[in-house]
Amino acid sequence: MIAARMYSPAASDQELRRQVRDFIQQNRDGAAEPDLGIGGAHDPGFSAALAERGWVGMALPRDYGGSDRGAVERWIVVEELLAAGAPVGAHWLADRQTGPLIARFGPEELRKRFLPEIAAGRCWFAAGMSEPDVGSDLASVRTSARRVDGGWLVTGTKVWTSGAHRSHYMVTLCRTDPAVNDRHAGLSQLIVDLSSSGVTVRPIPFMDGSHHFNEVTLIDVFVPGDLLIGEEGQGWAQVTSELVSERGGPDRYMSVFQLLMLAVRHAPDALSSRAPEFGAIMSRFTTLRRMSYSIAAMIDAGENPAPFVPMVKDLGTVFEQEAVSFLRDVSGEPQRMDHFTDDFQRLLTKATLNSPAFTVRGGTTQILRGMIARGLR
Amino acid sequence: VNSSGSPRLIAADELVRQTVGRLLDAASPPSVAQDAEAGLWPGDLWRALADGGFAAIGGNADEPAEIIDAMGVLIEVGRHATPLPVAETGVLGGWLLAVAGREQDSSAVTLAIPHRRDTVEITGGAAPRHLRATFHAVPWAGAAERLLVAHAPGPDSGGEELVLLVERRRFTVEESKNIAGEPRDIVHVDCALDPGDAHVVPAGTVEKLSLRGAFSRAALMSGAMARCVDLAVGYARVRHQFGQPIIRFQSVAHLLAIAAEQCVLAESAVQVAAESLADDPADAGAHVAVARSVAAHAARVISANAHQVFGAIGVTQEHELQLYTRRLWAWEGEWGGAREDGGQYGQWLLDQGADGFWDTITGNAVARPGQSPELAALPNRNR
Repeated sequence: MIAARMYSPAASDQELRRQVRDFIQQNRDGAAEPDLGIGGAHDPGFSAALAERGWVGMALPRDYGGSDRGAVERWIVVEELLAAGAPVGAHWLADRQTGPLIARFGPEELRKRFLPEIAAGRCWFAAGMSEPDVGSDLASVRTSARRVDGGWLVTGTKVWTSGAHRSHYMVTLCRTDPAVNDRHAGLSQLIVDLSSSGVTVRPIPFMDGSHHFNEVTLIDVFVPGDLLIGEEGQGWAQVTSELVSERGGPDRYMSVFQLLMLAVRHAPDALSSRAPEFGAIMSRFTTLRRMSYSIAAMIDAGENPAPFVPMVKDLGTVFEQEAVSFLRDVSGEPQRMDHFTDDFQRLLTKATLNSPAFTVRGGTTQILRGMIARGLR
Repeated sequence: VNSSGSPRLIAADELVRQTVGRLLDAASPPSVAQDAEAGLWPGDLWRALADGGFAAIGGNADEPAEIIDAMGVLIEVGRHATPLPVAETGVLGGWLLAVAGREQDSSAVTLAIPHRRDTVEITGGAAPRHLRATFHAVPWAGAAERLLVAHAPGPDSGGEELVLLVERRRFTVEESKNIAGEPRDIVHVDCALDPGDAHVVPAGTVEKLSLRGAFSRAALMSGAMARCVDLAVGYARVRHQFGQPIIRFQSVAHLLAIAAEQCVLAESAVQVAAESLADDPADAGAHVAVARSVAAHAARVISANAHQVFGAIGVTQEHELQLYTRRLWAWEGEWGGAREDGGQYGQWLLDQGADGFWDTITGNAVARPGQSPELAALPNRNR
């Protein structure tokens, strides 16, 4: 059995927490409603102000406009932002995934071009991974990139592409070599400018009516040759590493934090009458966030946190769903779409309608458990 | 929260843990636990642990960080279902002796904190003269050389907390067992007390002892859970059905994955609780309650999944799996209980209010410099 490996937070972490809290207090729109974790609103002004403080691109090297403050400090900032339900939607994916991806795999030209813009909070990315017949089995993508003079022509359809309607670019996993037999070979990651000719972004409304998902259709979209991330044919290894870095962070247990806090505010008596269940749920929350912190500490210490990453995502997202289910019992009211009695009821409706996605997005429960089990063999 | 400028790894001394692990690998096979259930006290094993300095580990009141090493020892004891009062003699009894100003040694001790079902009569107030009592579920009372009675007076009585030492010849033992077949005896005492064996201890001692008791069970459980997962994974690799090892079946693999992640979650919570007991911040009780609650939930999942993987062989007496799963079910309910701990943690969080909710969880309410801790203490454990 793999042994747990926990780090305790440094006292100095708490000062950074207070700075972030003060910043959010000063910069958030007073009328903004509390929201669900990474469902956080799109607010370019907030992203720019956050970047101004050096809190976007914290994991990126200084030479490229990042602040190189390490995984732990980034973890603290992100957790505080999610706890406050801050409007992180604009820069979120570029900060979490695309920046580190480009920093790691290059090439140098792309690092110089994109990383300073990402760290400034003004260059926003979407992730073009899934396709109509491709969900968890990512190696079967069919979007193709054909070599032409000066670059590629890309054709295919991407789905569930969160934020594509507001992003500047989409990192697009596509097949650059159709001839290979090994399905993990011949894949590459290209940066598609979403304002290019041949790109159509169509909303796929979520069941609560909100617009996060899109279908992105690419028909002979020209991508200049210098917008290849890493190496041609190495797309599978690159996207796998990207997903690992995506999975162990606070976004995997913080989605429902605002909801929990609103329950404490608006339904303390109902919670009190179910204190053992509430305590059991919060015990898992408390431990999960310390595990997630420890993953960041391991990264900074040069250790490999990989075995713990799918565990945190699986435990975290299952916790989120159980918390929503529990709070529906606490509420005790038939759920509605409007005329809410308070913010708790409003966010509970939203959480109820969003919670099935918690264990699907970014790698399903079943994929994660398969990864964990392979580690046991 | 640690006072250094960087994250600090919470780890038991690797040499201590490995040494105990190897010692128990060799000297505490499943047969020792099975024999103990039949009434055989493993005296040689106790002496080996005592000679290595492990029997009383975690009892040094001047070295609070020793409890992190003790965690490593307790995890190994749980992992081997070692049928000995290691927690009682070190983390609990040894510590209580130290608080009472008594010499600590590695002779086996057992403890009683008067419980609802117990009857206790102490005459003489702060200078106790006579003890007449019946205690239930006293661990290894028959094998212990001393009984320690930790007594907190009722909240309104104005009396002081006492630790009383009773030598083996002065109490009688009625044998009884917990669901794992470990001795949890009924002890009858009716004797005069030597003034030198009655100690007034600082207020809060009994409460702290309860925390350490709950922690000790969570740590033992963590070890037993790791063993259950290891056994189930090992079996699923070699057991063939339908022409292949059963670990190749996704449904079986996922049972194991779920068990493994619960095991890591529980040990993570135990590590945090150990550090918290070492540092003794205002919210130490919360961390212990969290560890207990997480461990209890994990134990239910792991015991169910491990048994499911083993099928019929796992539910037999001859198979070792039941040594660990029965202990999980027994330890879950000792020194309080998971539901009680969950309830206390939940209510304590509610008491901080919505405005203090996040501060409390992140520890900021405690660490804010220049201010006294803002946390309301956890209520006394309702024993």
